[in-house]
Amino acid sequence: MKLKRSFIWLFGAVALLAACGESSSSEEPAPGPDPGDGDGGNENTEYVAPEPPEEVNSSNLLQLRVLTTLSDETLFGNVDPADVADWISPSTEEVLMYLFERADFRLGEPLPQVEIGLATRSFSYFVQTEETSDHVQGTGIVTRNQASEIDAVWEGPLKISGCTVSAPLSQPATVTLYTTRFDTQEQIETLVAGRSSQLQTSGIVVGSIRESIKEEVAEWLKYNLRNYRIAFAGSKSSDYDLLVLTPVGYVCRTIDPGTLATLPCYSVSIEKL
Amino acid sequence: MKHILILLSALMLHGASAAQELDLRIMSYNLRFGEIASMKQIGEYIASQQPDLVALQECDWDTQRERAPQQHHVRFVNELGSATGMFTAYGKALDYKGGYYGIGILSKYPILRSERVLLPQDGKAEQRVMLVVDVEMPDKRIVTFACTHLEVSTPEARYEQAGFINAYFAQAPHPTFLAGDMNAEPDTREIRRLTSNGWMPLTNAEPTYPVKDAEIKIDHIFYRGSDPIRLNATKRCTDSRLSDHFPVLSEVTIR
Repeated sequence: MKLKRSFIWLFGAVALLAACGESSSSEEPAPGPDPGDGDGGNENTEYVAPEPPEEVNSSNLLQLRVLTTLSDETLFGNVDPADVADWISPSTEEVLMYLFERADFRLGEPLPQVEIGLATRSFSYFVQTEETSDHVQGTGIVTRNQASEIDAVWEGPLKISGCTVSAPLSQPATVTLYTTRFDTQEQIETLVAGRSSQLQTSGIVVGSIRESIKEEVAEWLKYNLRNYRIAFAGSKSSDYDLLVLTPVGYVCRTIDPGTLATLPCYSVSIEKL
Repeated sequence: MKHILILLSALMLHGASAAQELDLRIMSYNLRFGEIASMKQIGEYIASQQPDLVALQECDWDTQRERAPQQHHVRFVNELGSATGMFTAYGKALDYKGGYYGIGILSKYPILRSERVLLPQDGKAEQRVMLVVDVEMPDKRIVTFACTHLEVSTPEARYEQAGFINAYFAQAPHPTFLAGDMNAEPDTREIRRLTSNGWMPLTNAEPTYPVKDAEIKIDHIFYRGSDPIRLNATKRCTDSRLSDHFPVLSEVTIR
């Protein structure tokens, strides 16, 4: 567990350290505006999230698995989704949601997340990250928890959707888990403009971000959003990093790289504080 | 030369017009909780009709319904999504026999947004729901599609539910289709409450229930929106006897 925590903190701390390095006046976390003010925060004040408790409450963890190559390649390639289903079936109970980034579809061909949902007796969803055509890129989602609602922002460069589910924690919480791929800062700006309130209260973004823009985005967020925490994970050689953006009432504890079947898989745990 | 120019102009106009038209095949199907046929059979039938959007009623999710033992633990929308290659959405109405009873949607194109809406009910009746999805079509137009199954017991309850649906979609920003088992015939007060509020019927009056000696028409498809629509064809699918309802299918063009 210590190793995992070191891993995430290594990346998560980047944003916080950068914040401390550039502002001599922010010894204490800056008080933010109330969630839901909708304006994205005061642009003149840098936001730094308060330190989370050191002790992890294991009964309050949201467990996610994100299967992604963090590249421009499609996820499954020659891998049969049925083989993936075989691997995830036994552990589905403890995992709130599986995300299959770049589970692209072609009209008339089997849909990977639908096939995995069928095999694992789970609900399946799909977040498209580009406009509809015969071939669409996006992220497949498989979960045992029925989403009561799918929220979407479909505006300008941003195409993002999120499943609202009741998370089975010690104190059940309703969260909306958004996912998409961020290639430009404008997408983040559009998200904050449209979902500022959710991002500070119950909206969690687990997606990928182009490696070359992540520092700018982290910097921009400090002045344009409040009550949030951000963490990244990836490698220097990858085109994208994994991004976990949570309200301040949650904290990403681990992003643990591994494999599931033969596909790269990140185990993400997010604690509700 | 003049004739060639006229022909080219006509072709260009036709092309421009065609680019703004969206053809859709829309189906509504009450599955009778799979009592009569397997999901494989139903899925194959739906696929054979090549619909873009399908509204499904009486859909079980992992139940152990006594009247349909062959469907125990079956997740209907998952089976149908796999059989048709379509995206799925499910809306639970009730917890039932270890699982859920509800309604579903199949979509040829990805579902951007979805919402399960609880319909008004009086205390004794079972909870009824409406499942609403937004889908971006290949012409980049977003279409809203809603599936529902109205109360069976009283026309008053359905009248209330129809009013609720009107209010829900009062500010709908996209062309909207409403499909489902309304438990009401076309010339009833509750259906008139919909049609007098801008919902255009897209099915004919042929009876859809029961399959054996069909007597009443209770399965409907409606449209409401500012985009003009043309009904090209509609039918009750009498070649399908996989439920106690005939599915209804309408082919439309939205401009």
